[in-house]
Amino acid sequence: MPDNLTKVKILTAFEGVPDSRTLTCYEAGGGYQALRKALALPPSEITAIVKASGLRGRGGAGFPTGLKWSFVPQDSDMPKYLVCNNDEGEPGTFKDRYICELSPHMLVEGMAISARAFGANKGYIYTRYEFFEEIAWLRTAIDEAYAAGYLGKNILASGFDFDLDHYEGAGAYICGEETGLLSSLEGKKGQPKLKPPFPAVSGYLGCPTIVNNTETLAAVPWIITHGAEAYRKIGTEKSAGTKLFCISGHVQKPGVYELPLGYPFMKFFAEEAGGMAAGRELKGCIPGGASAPILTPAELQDATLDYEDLAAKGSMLGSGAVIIVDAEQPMVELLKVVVDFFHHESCGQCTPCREGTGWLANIMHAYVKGEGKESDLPLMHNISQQMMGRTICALSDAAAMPTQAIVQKYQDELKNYLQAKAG
Amino acid sequence: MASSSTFDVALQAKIKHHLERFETRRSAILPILNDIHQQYGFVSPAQVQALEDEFDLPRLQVQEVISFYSRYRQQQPSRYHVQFCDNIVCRMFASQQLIAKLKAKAAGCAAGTLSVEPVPCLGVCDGAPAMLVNDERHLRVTCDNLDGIIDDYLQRASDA
Repeated sequence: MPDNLTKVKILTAFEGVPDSRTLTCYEAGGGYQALRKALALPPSEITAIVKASGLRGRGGAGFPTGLKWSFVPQDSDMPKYLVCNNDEGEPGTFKDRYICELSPHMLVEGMAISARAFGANKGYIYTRYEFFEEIAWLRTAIDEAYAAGYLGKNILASGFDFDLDHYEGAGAYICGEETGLLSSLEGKKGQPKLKPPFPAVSGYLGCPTIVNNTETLAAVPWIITHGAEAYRKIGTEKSAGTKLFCISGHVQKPGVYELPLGYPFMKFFAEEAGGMAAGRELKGCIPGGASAPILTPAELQDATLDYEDLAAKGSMLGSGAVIIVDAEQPMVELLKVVVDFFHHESCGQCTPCREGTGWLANIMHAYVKGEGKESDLPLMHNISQQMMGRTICALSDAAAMPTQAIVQKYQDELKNYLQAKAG
Repeated sequence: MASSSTFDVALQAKIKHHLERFETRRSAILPILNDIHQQYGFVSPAQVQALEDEFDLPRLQVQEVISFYSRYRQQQPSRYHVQFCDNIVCRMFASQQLIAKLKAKAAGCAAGTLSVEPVPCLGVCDGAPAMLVNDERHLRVTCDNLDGIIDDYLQRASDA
């Protein structure tokens, strides 16, 4: 492999290390040295380094992280907040959980450094409540970091204050959307808000707020320690660094793998995940969580795991949730599960989403029973078309995109299903 | 408040702590409801009223949160409530059959002992199919090991 695609352990540096969650272990492996280094820098320099590193948001949208931070108005006298989006709920995604399991201190350190960059003195980690153990690990890490002086007042005698608290959700996929998350953190329904204003200007309680994904924040200490150039050397020009890929379905070795962005999909699938489980055959792959359009085996042959190639193929890198679909999985069933999910999770604010996801679900429920028509397929395409770009947040698009892809790419199978049911 | 409160002393202390913990009292609603759930498994209308009467949390705001988030129940759940993931990946690993099996098992138990709810992705797809029994996670559930896992809980219930 070329140098830029050579595997580097950044987020998984502590893989296989006993007691990796403890502060002692994290410090022994060099932990919190990046925070010391960052506190000696002018805050604007931290943002400059992260900008130059090419780090992009790992939650799904891929927005450049340093650029996002630079939107925080520095002349504002309002308190500023840093919120970690650890509400991992995109079906197929389990990578942030792995960071909580392996190195919660990496996240805490990344948050302290990031907060320093744009002047936040308060932070929250927002986690889905179903992560009972992970929440306990995060709370322990926060307590340890306070006791060691890495959080709280006058951190390491730098004059910088940063308080960090943990907040647990209560079961709502939409709270993974940053403005929905902030509504939830304010103690309200988790309904997204219209942007602009963006949270960087007016977020939590109307104050400047940066919401970053767990994996994004956990990458920051390495970038500060090794420099922007070292991070940029990994991956591709537009997709710098490493990413966690969580692969699931009937493969030999499902799990979380850290790979340089731009890594060839088939090499990852065959060599890391061991290929298909015995007796299973590859039928497709959802490369970035439930909202990512499915790719066929033909499309996967030359696919690379980065933002630009998957976008060029009409799909997306998303959260890095690689769901392998095997030949035994009926597409009609898969599509029904997907539209049911988004219908259930629509917050109900915007008509195209609330009604559109319901229509898609109704059509699929009839279709599965053999009560559908071939004209349902173009109908679903059209409904999906009208659900996109017309709502406050991206949930509606997230339901429409995979629907269109399945309807188009597996239409023969969907039609045959109807005929078999009728026959 | 102390002697006549709807909540025990420990829970009262937690509620007070949450109310002082955030920038606004309203942010405390989810943590308070989560703690009530942790203790009772549901939040009753009387408790919602008590949050207003004793802690000045508007009932409307609390009810808004209860009605929006899937965690919050307003009736006492079964002693063992199973949340079985029924999303894309777990579906590939027979979640539907396992849920059906669990429902049949629940029907054979005394009322209020066992219940099952299909839920969206639990975020542990590498261990599919996955379920939570109350707050304990079980991975790679199969038709063969499901009975044993549940029977352990039921045994605990009958021992208690």
